[in-house]
Amino acid sequence: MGFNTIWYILFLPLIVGAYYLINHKYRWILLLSASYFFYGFYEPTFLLLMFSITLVAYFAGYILHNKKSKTILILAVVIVLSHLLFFKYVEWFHQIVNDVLGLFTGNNTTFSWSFGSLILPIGISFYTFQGISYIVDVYKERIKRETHLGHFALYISFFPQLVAGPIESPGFLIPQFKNKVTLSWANFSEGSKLILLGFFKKIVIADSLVIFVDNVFNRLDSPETKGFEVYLAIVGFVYYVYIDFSAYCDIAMGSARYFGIKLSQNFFKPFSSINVREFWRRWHATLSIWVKNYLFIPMGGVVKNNNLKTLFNVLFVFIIIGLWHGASNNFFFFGLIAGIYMILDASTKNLRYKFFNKINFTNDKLIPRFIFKFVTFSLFLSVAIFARITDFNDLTIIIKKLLHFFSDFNFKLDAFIIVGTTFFITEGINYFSKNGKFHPFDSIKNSYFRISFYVLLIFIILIFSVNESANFYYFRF
Amino acid sequence: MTNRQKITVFVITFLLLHTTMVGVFFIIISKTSSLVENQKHFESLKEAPKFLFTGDSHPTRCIDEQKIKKSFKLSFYGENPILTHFRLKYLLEHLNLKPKYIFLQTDITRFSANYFNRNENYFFYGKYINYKELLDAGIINYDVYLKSNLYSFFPYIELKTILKKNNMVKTKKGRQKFSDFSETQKQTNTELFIKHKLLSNNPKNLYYEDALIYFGKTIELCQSHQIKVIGIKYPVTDYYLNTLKQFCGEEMLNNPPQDKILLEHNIPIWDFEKKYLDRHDYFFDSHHMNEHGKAAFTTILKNKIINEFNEK
Repeated sequence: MGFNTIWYILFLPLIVGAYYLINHKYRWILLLSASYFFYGFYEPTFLLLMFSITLVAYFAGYILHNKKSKTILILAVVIVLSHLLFFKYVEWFHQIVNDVLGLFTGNNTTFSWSFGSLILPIGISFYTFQGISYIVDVYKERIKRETHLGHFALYISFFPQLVAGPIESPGFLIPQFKNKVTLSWANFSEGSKLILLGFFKKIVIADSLVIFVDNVFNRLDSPETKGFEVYLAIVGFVYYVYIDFSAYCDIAMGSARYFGIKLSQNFFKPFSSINVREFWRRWHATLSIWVKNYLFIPMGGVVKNNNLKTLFNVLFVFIIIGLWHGASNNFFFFGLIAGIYMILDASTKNLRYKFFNKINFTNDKLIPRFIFKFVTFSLFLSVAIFARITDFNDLTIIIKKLLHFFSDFNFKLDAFIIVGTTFFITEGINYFSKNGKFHPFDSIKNSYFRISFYVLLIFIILIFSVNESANFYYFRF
Repeated sequence: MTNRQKITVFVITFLLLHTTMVGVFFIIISKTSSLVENQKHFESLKEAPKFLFTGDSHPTRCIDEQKIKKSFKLSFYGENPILTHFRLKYLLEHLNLKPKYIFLQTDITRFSANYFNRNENYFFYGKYINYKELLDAGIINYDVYLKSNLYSFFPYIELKTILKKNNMVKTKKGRQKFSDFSETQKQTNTELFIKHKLLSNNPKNLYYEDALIYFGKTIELCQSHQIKVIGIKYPVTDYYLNTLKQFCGEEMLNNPPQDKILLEHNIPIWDFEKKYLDRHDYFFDSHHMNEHGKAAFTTILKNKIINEFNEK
């Protein structure tokens, strides 16, 4: 059940109403049933996967609590991860094997198997990671094992963050399920504002923007499509992904707030970053934190006096981030290039700092700050493009068109207006948000105006909801 | 301000704005929607027209009904056979305006799925369509059913599309000539429409079964009211047919199921599909006629009507 469907609009108030009507002791049953219903709404058979991951992680936690065994840890992580690997990567792996064998035999179909047509279960990348977090955290004794299977199952399946995160750590989320929550105005008001903002971003901005982006990418090879429009479409695509995903997160956080549960913030104004390192701390923060805690640091992280090992660790981690997004060569390059930028950024940090200080070009000044932001954003554009192209032929066309940006310049006013408006609205929302947290609306001090503004937003959303709302972009991961 | 007051202000503001929006919406559509205007015009007729043309943008763009005596054109952009069925049903069962002949559009791409999936003009068709019937028949899912109910409460949801559509209706595309396009433009224009819009990348969508079922039902409906039905295929360009061939295969184009339905009911087909294949100056895109085409085709159609029905 997508957030942007009528079903969810009916489902959420029903569950919230029931939640506060029943005794605290039984609320987990309601939330768990609602979460399974929510997930089963997409495809009931996917529930089997979720049950499997839940049981494996739960019992692994039970065993690891009694006996700290590395073998059990590895076995449990491998079993949980195998669900993801099988459904997400088996087809890609098949293709790679064939391509490699084809290089030697000159035949592309040298090795074949068939699992039928595998459908990627929605949200599997997210709840698999949560399962792994739990197993590792119990092993590392960061948390105690969860004895209540119901609460643990809810941690894996909690519907507001089930499909596309944020990826929560068990130590943060599970205790919240146990808190006795009473119906409060603060939760209701915060939740509603977040949901309202999320719907506005998704339905009004993202769904309008994606029409333009898809339109340009669909006719990429047409001679009518010039470099200027292509550049705007790439910028539009990056903004679309950001708005769409952050909208999802807002709705997720808002929905969870109705149950008195706080979810982690995933985005901290990423396009305000002045370097690549900062960017990855601000963009999809819960994934970055997960990868850092459960992959980068266990691999050794930054190894003193061993640049080669550090370089390998960074590249490996970024390639994993890339492949986590999708099983294809595109996402491999997405990760690889992001990793290279990260290495370049980190390795030239001191040099740049000295140089820019020397010429008095520091980021506390407006123009240098703007330039650093623009460069960071542009670097991300060159990474993100791999998430949009369908094949490398598209990339060649894009590069050719961008190379003729000035020589074959064709100003497209409508494209400029669409991307420009998106930019101003998005950055406006970010500007009025406090410390990247939320509440652009609270800038309106007068209560009457603020409430009227909410109502106005609802009407704008209603009017824009006429567009067929696309699924959230991150659902595919 | 207390929380109770906040809720009260919210509800009052919402209701006020809602009422205003509903009012504004109906004022706008009554003044600007050619669909509403067309229906109102029909309902105001004192005498039923002898010839009634139904369908989507093709008859809308092809026929100048002013030039054909005792005729009326009850068609609109994107109106699929299911919508036409319900609209006609209402007309025949609730208004005492029964035409003698009804021309049902039977173009090759009249039954494509994409056209039915377009959620447009609920505010208008909602009055005629029995969504429960469509839901029970499995033609629409609960999503669309719920949406139809939502649109009846909040009709202004469609404000954006209606304004856009009205703009489209008013746009002076009629003067544009397809022949003025470069070969690449012609090809891109046609391919984009067929692949991404009409068939949504699925050639099987050319003949959407439910649309064909309702087409059959419409024929039976007309016959039950003693109205004679004529199937009519409107002109398109060679670009349109060739691109369709590339995408769907010749086999699929050669055996249109709608022809079979018409044959089963002993209904004649007036086939103008290939009449102006290379007259690109008569079209503004690969399948919509411009003003020149409209004038030429109307003359041909008029003469055919005169000859067939001794209509002077």
